[in-house]
Amino acid sequence: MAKKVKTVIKLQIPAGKATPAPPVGPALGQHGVNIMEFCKSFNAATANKGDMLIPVELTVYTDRSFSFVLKTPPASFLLKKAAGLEKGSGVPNKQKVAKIPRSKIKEIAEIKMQDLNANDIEGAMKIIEGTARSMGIEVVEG
Amino acid sequence: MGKRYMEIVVKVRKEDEEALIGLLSLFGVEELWIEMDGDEVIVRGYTEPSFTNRIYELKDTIYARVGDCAFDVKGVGEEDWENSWKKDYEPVSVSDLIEIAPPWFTRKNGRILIKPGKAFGTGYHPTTYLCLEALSEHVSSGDYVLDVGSGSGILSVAAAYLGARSFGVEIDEVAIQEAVENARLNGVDDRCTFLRGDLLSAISYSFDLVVANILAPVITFMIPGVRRNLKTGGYFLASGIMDLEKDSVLEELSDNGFVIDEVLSEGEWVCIVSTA
Repeated sequence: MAKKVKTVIKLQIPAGKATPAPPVGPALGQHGVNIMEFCKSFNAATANKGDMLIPVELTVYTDRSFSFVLKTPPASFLLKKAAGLEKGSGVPNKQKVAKIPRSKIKEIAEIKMQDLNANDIEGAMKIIEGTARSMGIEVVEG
Repeated sequence: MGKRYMEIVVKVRKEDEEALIGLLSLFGVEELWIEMDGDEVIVRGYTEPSFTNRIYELKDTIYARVGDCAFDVKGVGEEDWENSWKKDYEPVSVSDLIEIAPPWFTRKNGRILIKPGKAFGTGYHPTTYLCLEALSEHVSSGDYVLDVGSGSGILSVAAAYLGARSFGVEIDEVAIQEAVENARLNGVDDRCTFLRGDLLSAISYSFDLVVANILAPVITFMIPGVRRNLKTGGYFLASGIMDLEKDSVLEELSDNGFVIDEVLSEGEWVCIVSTA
């Protein structure tokens, strides 16, 4: 069919837990996208992803039909998990909120590789380290 | 009173997007809506209203790490999001014979119900209703109709509704499921068959009418194949073609022995009706 893109919507939602509440409702509602249909499809597609946070890119076509692509969990989410920071427990005003060994950075870089603009794993690690630094997470050897 | 949410809206440069998402994440604000705005990104985070007591800490942290940026906080009341997206949908009248409506409208004579979903062809695009208009004109009862790139199944369902036996070909499995559902919704599932296939590769038959609402380059590519699968005197309805692409499709049609009957247009889109 003659698909013509109206807009692209990026969301971050927990795997298997999309509901019409924000951010889904306000983001999709204004474009007339079938909200329940999206929630159902997203939840089915992410049912096996445990408690991960999933970025999703929705393409909305001019006739209000849509398609979506799932991305790898945000680097910040994976860093927080790896550093053992509970939800909301960070104290980012302090200079450093946690430490994380470089080996973990590598693991995260491997997960994120497909979504990163990096030529190799070293490049991907640099990007992840940058995110860690901006969050106040210190990268240590090991 | 329904549930309330706090919406935190921050606008940063594209290169600071990751850092901002990271900081919001540290504060437990992880359910986000991210929009591009030129070189900038608008990030909307949603959390509980009780977050009020951490809002200054969050703001200071963001300013400290990514510099000055637009930062705004709003209360959002609960809405009936499950239904409010439906508000702009009205039935679309296509011809004297048919109109299209989403499934929350009642069934009635002449009304085809199509569920807006993941497959293109909700009825709210000019290319779709140009095809519907042409189908209303050219489908006769008992015709065998082939719908190439059937998407939501809207054109197959309409043809079946007009008395034809429809065959839809579609490469996307998800769209096929939606098409089957739409055929059932309209009680024409016994006269609609949807096949998985790449354009005409799975087809070898002489149809009375072929409709294809795809894109001009794809239409041009498949014209010889359409000719082989169409009875002499059968109709080919080609759409998804922009006005400025029309001439090359018309030329290819003529080169393959089609006679052009008419060109329907709506805005920048056209639907070419030709006869084999």
